[in-house]
Amino acid sequence: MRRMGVLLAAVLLCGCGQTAGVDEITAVVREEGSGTRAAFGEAFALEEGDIDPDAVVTNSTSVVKLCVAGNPGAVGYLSYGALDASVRALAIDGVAATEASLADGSYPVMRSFYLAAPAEISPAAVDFLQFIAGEQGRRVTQAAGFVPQAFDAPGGRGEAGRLVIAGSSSVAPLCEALREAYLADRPGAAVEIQISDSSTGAAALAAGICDLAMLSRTPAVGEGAVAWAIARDALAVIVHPDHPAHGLSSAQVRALFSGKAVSWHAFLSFD
Amino acid sequence: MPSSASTERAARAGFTAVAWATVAAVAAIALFLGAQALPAIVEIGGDFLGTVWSPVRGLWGILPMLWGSAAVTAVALAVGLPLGVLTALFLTHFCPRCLAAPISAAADLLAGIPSVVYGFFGLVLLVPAVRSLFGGSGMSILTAGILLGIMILPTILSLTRTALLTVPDSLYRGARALGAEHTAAVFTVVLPAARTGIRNAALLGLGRAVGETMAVIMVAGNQARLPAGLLDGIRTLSTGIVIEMGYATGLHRSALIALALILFAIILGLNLILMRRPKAGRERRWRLRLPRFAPHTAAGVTVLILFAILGFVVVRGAPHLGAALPGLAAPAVTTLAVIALSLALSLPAGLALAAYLAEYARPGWVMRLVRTMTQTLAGLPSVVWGLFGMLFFVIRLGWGYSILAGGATMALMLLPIIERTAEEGLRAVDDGLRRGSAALGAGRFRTLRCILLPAAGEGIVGGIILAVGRVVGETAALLWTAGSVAQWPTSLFASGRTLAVHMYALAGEGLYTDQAYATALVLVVLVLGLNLAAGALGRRLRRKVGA
Repeated sequence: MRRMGVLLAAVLLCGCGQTAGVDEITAVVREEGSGTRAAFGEAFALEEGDIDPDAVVTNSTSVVKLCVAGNPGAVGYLSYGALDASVRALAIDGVAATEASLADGSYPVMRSFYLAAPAEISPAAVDFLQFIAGEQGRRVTQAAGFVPQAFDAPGGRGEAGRLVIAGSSSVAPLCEALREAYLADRPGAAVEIQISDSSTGAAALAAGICDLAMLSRTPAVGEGAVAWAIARDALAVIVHPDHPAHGLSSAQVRALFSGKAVSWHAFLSFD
Repeated sequence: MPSSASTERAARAGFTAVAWATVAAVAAIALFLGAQALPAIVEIGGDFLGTVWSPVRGLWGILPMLWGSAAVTAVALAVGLPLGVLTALFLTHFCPRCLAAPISAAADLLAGIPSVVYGFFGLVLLVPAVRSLFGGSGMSILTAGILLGIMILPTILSLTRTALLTVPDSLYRGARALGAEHTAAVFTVVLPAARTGIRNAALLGLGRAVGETMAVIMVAGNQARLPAGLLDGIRTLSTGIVIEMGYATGLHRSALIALALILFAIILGLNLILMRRPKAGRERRWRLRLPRFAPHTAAGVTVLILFAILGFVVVRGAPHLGAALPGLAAPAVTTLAVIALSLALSLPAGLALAAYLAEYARPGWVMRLVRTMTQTLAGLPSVVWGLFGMLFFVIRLGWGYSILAGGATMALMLLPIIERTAEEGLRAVDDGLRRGSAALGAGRFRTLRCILLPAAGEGIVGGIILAVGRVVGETAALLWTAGSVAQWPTSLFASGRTLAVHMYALAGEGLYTDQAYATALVLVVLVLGLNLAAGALGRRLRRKVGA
């Protein structure tokens, strides 16, 4: 027991001796197959093989946020809609993510949210899509922090009824907001939202468990017969609020997430 | 009234049937998963032995995850086992009576806290602590191991405590009569006498540690490459499954099911090794030289941890309770429905299995087989259960995302917990009661029903508490079987989210984290209420026997 105590003390001392500074870069990424990861990689030309194998991986937006909020040396990315004061978004190539830069498309890191439907689309789904494409749907989308996108809703007679939507947890907040407004507008409707992820949603669609699938990435072949891009979402690159940097170039972001940057000090003083 | 002989025969046949059904169920689950994993095993084959896992690039090396599971579990046991065993020892032999009840109640409460809450606790408190002490990102094998050690603490504590209470008082008195003082008698006689129970506690704890995902995923860093040391992050087998299962299709999904199968095989192998009866000669060597105040120190640390976690939940959750409460009614009812359903299914089967193993089965290969299978059920990670529940109950049986599918999946998960604790409880009953009952002409079943079950009431209630805690805290398995719709449960076939799933959904996108904490607080209060009710029930049962 005494030996163990000495050992523990030694370990603690060694640990404290190491530099526990903010200088060490910790990149936080989403898991392989995540719509957010795919969109981020696409925007910064990061292939799967390029991404730093030592980067922290998580499958939840809130964990990305908590990691970065709790670690002055961390850098991560998440949906603009999930941004709050606990972290700070960096300008990319000189353009900050603001409502204006999102709306005019000058912010460089954007992706689309999709709703996919089977070949035999249900009347309730038609009605919901027509609602989203309409004036009220666009207003709700804007208010929820996303950029409304014009799309051709399926024609034909929609009918408010029981509707099941399943899929991406990134798209879910938007659909929840749309659902609330939709239910207030159509008293006869009943909308269920099953939150999982893009691929599970698509699989549920194929199995006939849901009417519409939510996808936060481009639908793959066979994922639904038709898909509509209903809104656009920005990806914010985030750091701790006390971090010295205000903006990064695309090349810098690429270096950070591919493990080519060693320490913040060396990295930021380069230019 | 049927003749007692035929009742006895029927009871024996029934218990035996349940035991064999358990064996069949485990085999069926393995075959079912095996069939789903076959395409990946055939196609990937030897490439599974690589050191990088990146399905998008066609790299399928599972060595990092194997290594990760082993390392994280080892740290967890190194933290949780001594702490749990010594605290249990403190509670049974060193503790003033007035302290024992609140401490074990608090520990039972910990068992009911959802993994996601532990994950947040780890992320907000443990990760920065490890980072400032040791450097690095703080998301490491060490952090995940410590967090897991804390998570398996209630399981080990509760089971060890039951095992220690099983040790006949005559052993302790004998040691005292031979001149040993209290501490020496407890350390050298009572503790070694409870070793089987402690080993079983370690086994269940191990199963929990290997299988845990939702908390580990938040603090382990999840890098799928070989780590350089304890301070590097790592991906475990179970987090590897949960992190990608959502997106995986085709070969990728099949490969993940193969991971589940590997996990299954590891747990099975582990149980086979540990289930082997210790050789007679080794027993004497099971003697620990413990510092005198080890139990007190361990209990102190445990209480500190209890306060830290409960305090964390209260401080984060209480201010937002008002905002979260209106949305909680439906998930609360769904939670109760899933608890009721899963207990209704697993309690009779679990008790029957325990009765078979404790009272009917003779030591031998059948008993070992049944026990190994039950332990294997206990070790399967909840994401594997969720996957199995979804593939089998939701899709194959066509129940859809429903409370029924969720309840059935949970029932399978609860079976080993109920069985283990009930069996420990039955074994704890003084053999004199059995012999007295037999001497009065009662058959085994009658003795079981009228004497042993009530006398084992406390152990069984302990099992129910653990089981309820498991249901309340479960996320992964229910998300995939009962769905995540926030609505009032109108029928068994309706989808619904329990409080933990509700919390998971709130926390997931980081938009409603405050409400998620508030939900966690409500969960803790709910578990506390259930525990108090179950405790009162246990006391009434004991009084009925007149013990």
